[in-house]
Amino acid sequence: MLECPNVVLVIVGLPDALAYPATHFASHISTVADASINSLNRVSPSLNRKRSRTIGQWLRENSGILFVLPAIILFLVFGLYTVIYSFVLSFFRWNGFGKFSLIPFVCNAPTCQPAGLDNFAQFLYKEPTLSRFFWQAMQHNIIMAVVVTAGTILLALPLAVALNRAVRGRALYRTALMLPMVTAGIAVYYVWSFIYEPDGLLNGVLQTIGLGFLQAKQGWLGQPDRALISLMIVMIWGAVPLATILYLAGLQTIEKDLYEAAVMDGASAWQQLARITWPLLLPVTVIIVITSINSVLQGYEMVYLMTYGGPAGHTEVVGLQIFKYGFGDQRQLGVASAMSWALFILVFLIALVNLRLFRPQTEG
Amino acid sequence: MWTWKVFHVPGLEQIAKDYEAKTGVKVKITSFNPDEVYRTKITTASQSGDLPDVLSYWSGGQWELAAADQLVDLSSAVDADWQKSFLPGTYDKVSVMPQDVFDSCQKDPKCTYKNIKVGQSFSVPYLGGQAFFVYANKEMLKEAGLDPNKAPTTGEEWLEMMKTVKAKTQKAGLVTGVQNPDVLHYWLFNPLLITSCGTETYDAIYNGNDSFSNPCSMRVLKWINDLAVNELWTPDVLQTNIDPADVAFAQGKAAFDLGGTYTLGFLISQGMKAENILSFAVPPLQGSKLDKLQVTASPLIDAMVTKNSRHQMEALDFIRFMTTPDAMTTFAKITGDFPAVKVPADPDKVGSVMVGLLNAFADTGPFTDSKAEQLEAPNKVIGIGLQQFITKESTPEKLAAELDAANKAAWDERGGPKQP
Repeated sequence: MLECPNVVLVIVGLPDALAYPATHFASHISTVADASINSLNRVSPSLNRKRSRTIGQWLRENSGILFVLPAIILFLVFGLYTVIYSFVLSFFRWNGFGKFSLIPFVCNAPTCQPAGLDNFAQFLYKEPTLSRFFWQAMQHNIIMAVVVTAGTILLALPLAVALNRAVRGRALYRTALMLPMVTAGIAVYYVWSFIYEPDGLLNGVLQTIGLGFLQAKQGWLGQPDRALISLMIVMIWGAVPLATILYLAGLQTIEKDLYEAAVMDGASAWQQLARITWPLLLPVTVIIVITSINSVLQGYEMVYLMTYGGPAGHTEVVGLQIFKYGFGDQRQLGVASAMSWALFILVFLIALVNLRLFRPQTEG
Repeated sequence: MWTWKVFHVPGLEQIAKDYEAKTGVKVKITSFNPDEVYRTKITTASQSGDLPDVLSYWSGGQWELAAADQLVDLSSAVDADWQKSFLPGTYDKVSVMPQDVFDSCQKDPKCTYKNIKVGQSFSVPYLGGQAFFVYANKEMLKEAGLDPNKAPTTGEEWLEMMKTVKAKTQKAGLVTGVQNPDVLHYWLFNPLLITSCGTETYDAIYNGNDSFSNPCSMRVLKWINDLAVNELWTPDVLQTNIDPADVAFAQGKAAFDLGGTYTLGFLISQGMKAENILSFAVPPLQGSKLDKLQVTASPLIDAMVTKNSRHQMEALDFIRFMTTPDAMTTFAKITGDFPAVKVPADPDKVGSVMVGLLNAFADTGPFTDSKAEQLEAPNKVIGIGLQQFITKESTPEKLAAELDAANKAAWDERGGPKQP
């Protein structure tokens, strides 16, 4: 008798399907016991249901965390860990071949040595030649970020306004506009390189239209006074489509009543643009500014493919220097990581300044 | 076995096939390119213990891998017989840790192979060669009224030939892969400097005991600047890398092409006829200490056995087989590239192009005797500075001053100039 409740109690802890054999077994014992067990079995389904409800409820209550858990795990392993790894590495001298790991921490001399802040000091100020090249590259990055961002906005906004007003062929214009976005970067860079050659399309066109004096005899990417601007033109050309699409989406959220009221008040087209369109598109502009600066400061693949930093270092950017330190024959992964963090801090500060500058206006 | 030279694969595969026929051991050749991808692949494989049994790597770069305990020590395995098969100045100078490289590493706080001892060896060279070779387009020389079979004996004579070509044909005098800053430095400046100054002064300049403003150095800088002043380069030379430069030369865009032993095969693959090419070593300037540049072979690629290999004995046996004269003859004929092993100068066995190159090499030369150590910072200055001659942003005097400053700072960081 004493065993029976124990059996049932054990069974209660199991799901319904597993509980059945035990209740079946219970039917073979005494009537008293039957009654007892039956009464208990009447309780167990309700306990099971209660428990199921509890699990279901727990799942429902925590469904959010469960949905994001795979992403969190991926982020922790491939995002946060690599970021921390890179940060720690920036304080070490490592050639990439010896052992260097964080968990467990391994850094075996002489292929891995603690460097303290030396990796940062080396390119920031300590080593005159290397720091000169670093700051020159940083200067190019900043020029590119300002010019490309401004150029993108100046071209994308009027284009978006025109597309928004276009009555016929809007789909065709939009498709044409999207072409630079959907064309593979490497193909674009090679085509532009051909355009910029000494006997390339650009020089040919200039000659044909009587502007031969503007030609770049050593090629547009080969002359120090033209190379950087030539690269920026390609960058702007590549960035305008996305910015235009964003502006176009923003324009379609502005109510027409505002323009109608402005027209009734006698506002000119310029006043409508300055007083209605531009302020209402400011949130979109903030996004464009931040993404543009971010991509220009961190990107290097176009420079790598089109000029490799030349001529004579006139298009060298920090991203390319990081690539050369990390994957070139120098194999100074600590310096490459330190440079990446210096660049990150710059990008972060610029993004903060942007948000700070635009926030009162966007909120207003 | 891994390599990054795709065009070496057929040659290496043939060697592997011959090795399998002899021993029954199969060797698979895998290539990863370009260079950066190969380096990254080795980095990740060395972390995960997935390096191949046999690895190809840039000669002189093996110390980093060896210091990380990734390579098998071959010091005792490479016996006297095996050593004899290599060209002078290859295995003995670069594959065995020399005293001066060891001393320099101990003084350099950034050196990551301080645990390698003098005399240790972890690799054997299989590809050799040298830069400093100039190729001339005979048809263009003829068109300019020059003797197509007469190579210039001095730098000044060579410069005059380029000027004549430019004046008579309106074509450029010279092309090479200037976009890569190392090209002007190592292929033109260094050979002119070592002949102009002699090995001792050349070493003293680089090792921080003399100045780049030394007249023998200034003469070289002025000569290179004259190329730009006289607009003898192809117009887009600053945007031209090594292979495109050779293509431009093959297309007749310049009368001369500066390259290396590896260039000739490439030019022929681009459709140039061997009989239309005149080749000569970079000629010394007038008044140089050395009146001729003796070109010696340098090792370019080494083969090594990795520690994580489960077939170390077989891998060692394979690289021994691979670096036999017979195997390297096969390799040279298939790839047209120059082995670091002594191969017969027989046109039937290695091809006529290779025979010409083999005969051009001397056993010793100024670079094999040199103990110059070229540091990172001055290297960067000279690479960019020589390009700035072409952009007209620098002058020989300015560059020499910048070089001295950079060289001094770099040696000061190591505690002072390198002692002779």
